[in-house]
Amino acid sequence: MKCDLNWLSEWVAELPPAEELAQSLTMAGLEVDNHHDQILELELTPNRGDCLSMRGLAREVSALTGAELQEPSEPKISADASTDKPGLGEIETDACPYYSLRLIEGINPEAETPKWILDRLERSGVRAHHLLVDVTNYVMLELGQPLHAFDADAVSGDVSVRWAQAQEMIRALDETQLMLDPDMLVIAIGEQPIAVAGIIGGANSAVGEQTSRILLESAHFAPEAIMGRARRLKLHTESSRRFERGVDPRLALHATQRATELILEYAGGRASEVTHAGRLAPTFRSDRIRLRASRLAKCLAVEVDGAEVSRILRALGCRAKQDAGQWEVSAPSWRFDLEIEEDLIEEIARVYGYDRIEPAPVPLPAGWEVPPQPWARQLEHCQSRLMECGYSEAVTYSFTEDKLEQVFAPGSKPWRLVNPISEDQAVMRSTLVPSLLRTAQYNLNRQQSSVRLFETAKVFSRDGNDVRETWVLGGVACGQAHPLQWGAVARPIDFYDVKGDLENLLQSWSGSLEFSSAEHPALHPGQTACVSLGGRQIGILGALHPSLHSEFDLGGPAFVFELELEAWSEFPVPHFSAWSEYPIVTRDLNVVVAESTPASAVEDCVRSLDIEPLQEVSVFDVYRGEGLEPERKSLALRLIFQSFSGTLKDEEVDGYLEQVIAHLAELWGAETRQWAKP
Amino acid sequence: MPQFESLQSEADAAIAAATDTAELERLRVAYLGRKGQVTVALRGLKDLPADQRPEAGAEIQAIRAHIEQALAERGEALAETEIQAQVSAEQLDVTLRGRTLPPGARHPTILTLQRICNWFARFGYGVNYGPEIEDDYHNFEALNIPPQHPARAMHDTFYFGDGRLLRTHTSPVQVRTMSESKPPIRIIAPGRVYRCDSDPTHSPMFHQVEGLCIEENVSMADLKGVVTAFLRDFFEDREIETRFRASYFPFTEPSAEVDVRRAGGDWLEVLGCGMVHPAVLREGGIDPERYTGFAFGMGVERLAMLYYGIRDLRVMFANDLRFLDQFGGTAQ
Repeated sequence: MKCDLNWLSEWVAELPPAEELAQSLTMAGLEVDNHHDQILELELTPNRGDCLSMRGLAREVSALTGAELQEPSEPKISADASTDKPGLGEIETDACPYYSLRLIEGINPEAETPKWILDRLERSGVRAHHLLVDVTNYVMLELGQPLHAFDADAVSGDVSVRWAQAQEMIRALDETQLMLDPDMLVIAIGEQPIAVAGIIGGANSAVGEQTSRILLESAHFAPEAIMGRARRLKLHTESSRRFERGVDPRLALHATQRATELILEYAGGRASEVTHAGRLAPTFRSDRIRLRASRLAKCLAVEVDGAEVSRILRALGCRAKQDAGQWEVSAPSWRFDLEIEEDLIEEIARVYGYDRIEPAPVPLPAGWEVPPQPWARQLEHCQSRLMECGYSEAVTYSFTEDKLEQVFAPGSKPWRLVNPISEDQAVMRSTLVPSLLRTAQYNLNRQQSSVRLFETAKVFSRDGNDVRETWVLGGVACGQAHPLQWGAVARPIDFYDVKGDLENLLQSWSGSLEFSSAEHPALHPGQTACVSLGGRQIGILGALHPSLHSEFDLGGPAFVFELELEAWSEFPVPHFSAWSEYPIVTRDLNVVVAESTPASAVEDCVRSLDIEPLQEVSVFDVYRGEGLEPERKSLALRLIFQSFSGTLKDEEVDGYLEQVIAHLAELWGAETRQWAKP
Repeated sequence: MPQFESLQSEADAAIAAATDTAELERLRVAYLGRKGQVTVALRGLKDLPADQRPEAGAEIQAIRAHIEQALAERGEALAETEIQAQVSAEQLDVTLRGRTLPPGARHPTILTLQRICNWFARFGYGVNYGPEIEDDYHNFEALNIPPQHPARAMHDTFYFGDGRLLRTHTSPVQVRTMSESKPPIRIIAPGRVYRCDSDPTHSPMFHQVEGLCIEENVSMADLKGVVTAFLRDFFEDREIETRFRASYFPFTEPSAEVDVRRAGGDWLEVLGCGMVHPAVLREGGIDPERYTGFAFGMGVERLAMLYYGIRDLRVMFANDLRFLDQFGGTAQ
């Protein structure tokens, strides 16, 4: 909304300078975006429909600055007795409490809009058309009452205000075809709609260059009857903007008189009596609002002087009776937003000045505890641990392409948006992986030699008819394992790099961490593992299926993982355990087994013997090739023994090794040989 | 006793000629070891006539001490030389890069979100997340935004067509918190929100943090206190100015927008807030006569952009490593 200060100065005596005025308005809730050439650009909130006019702004400025308001009175128009009053039909008086028409005939179609009106329209950002339209627009800017002029020659019969039929069609002024809903109000002559009430006129009754007879409509439409309809029709008009926020229900006749005055003055013509249905509202709204001084003080934590409260209320146009620590307040007809005590408290506060309320010291919590938030600790642990492993944190959109969603979660019925921004953001994702792969692709396309990314976010799925929102941690790694550097051999990231990262991430949590061979439709069938913690499946790790490489154009393998965060939030407090001071005995074995034997099975086989001093068993090398039969591999196994009760003797350890070798042969057909003792 | 004299001079010559500590050790054994020449000479004393023994004994002991000292002195010199040689053979080019896998970086939005949460945690604000797929009741109606309300135009909403929608703000968490717990309430609600709007200054998804405090006798002065202190700490600027302007949100009354201004700068809008509207309290089952409360909501991307000096909203969602890497060393 543009406010022309030259114009405003006719309404307010001693207008403050633009800068100062902009400041007061901004602080009081009428935000001034900028000002130039004595024009303020205001950004009005939806509750202040009353300020969408010169008259409204003048009232506000007067209330805020104390400057005197100079409201012109309603012009007196002498009706021409020979001009017939228009006829009215049925009026929906709940939706339209006041409806009026006046016939003006004998208008000179050649008449031009006076320059002063053109100037004001231009400075208010309203395009000029021709005199009749310009005058109705001008009066709307001046008083806040939208008016509409019908070409009287195109309208014959009684005018009614009724609800639209379902799917009733009307061609609007701007030539668009509108299909109406039954909760939209229309102005009609019988069956024929001639305007969508309060929103836009019809093309069939529009005034034009030749018009010499008009029906001037001035009405009050209840905000509830207009709200939301224009949006549904994908329209946004000056009229609908005002009516849906609330136009002063007392104003309609005043506006008719003002417009008639200007038309008669600049284009001649004769005006009929005003025909109307319903009644103009009284000066004050009927609901009385009680404002307690105690409530005011409690809310604002300042004692505003009683006389000051009364002054502010009256300056805003309210009627206020002060009595025993409270006021009985009636809001003026134009303030639709004053309904309850808090509304008045806000009015007092904003005129008194928010800046006069002293900030209180921030109290520490008293009387209750902040619940512990293991979740936040888990989240931060994951984020910082992955960051240390070289992963950067991404934030990607929660919606994704349906096509990719189907590849990564075939058969899922994703939550689909009715009004997505684009098809590639049409469904809520049930996995972060495709978004992360797209992000990896984006970065590789920008010549990054390696990409490691993670994201923590919710994913969405169905649980019957309910939404299931699940927090997950997803990651992707592809490209070079290290940046090019002199001391390390360049090689691409592989499965075990990423697996190691997950091991680092997860080892602090309760329960044993296990990876077992798994399958996933989007992942490499031989390079995919299910991740379990404490026997519970928490996620998946794997290489992107080669058939998807072209989709993401990554130029090499990519490794992805996704873990369900809430599945492992138990982060135990470390519990101290003692260690042995006796020396460690280390023995290495070569275990030749079938290629299909998992390394973890060999380790588990050794552990299952429950050898008391065996502290650790791990495969530290894998050999295939010369000296071995095909389909056989040799695992180098390190066993670490240590007793809590004494120094282990070689013979004892040899005894354990015999058990191990026998058990491996029995379970896995392994041929095992001990390395030379270190 | 010429044989003893020559022993000492031979030893001196051999020790002086030794070129490494291993050679020196051999000499030590050759003279002073169990079968060494000095040891043998001492053992030979018993074969001398008794009257010569004291003098010869003293002489050999003196030679022994002399050799010991010569060995020690030469040993020290040789060790020093050897360390020098080792050191000069082990020169590194310290300007070569260290061997590393560089750490990744945190996303500035999430860092900012956590900074905000951590600040409020100190003052007893727990965290509630709330669902991102919401319904009309929680996102709008319970917040005093009935179906046709003009305020809905400020929220371009994504719909699912079954009454569900993507939350347009984190304020629905207020409603959920009120219906699930009793005052006193202090929570913040961080998370993703969605608006059907995409251009260089609007993203269809962004983050907000909502705050809610409901107690007996909470006032606008408390609201101003919390918000002012938070902004001062957030921007790490004791001199920062804040101003509260009247504004409008359907779910707060009075409502305010908060601007900050740093030395030499312009006023920048950073958050919206207000006293919880009595209709919202009642909807949450809380008696507005007994309890009052305040709520505030802030855009995390906006705060992050102001804090880190980021100009373009789009980079916050592109996840370009050239962008993210700039936040690698950022502490919380």
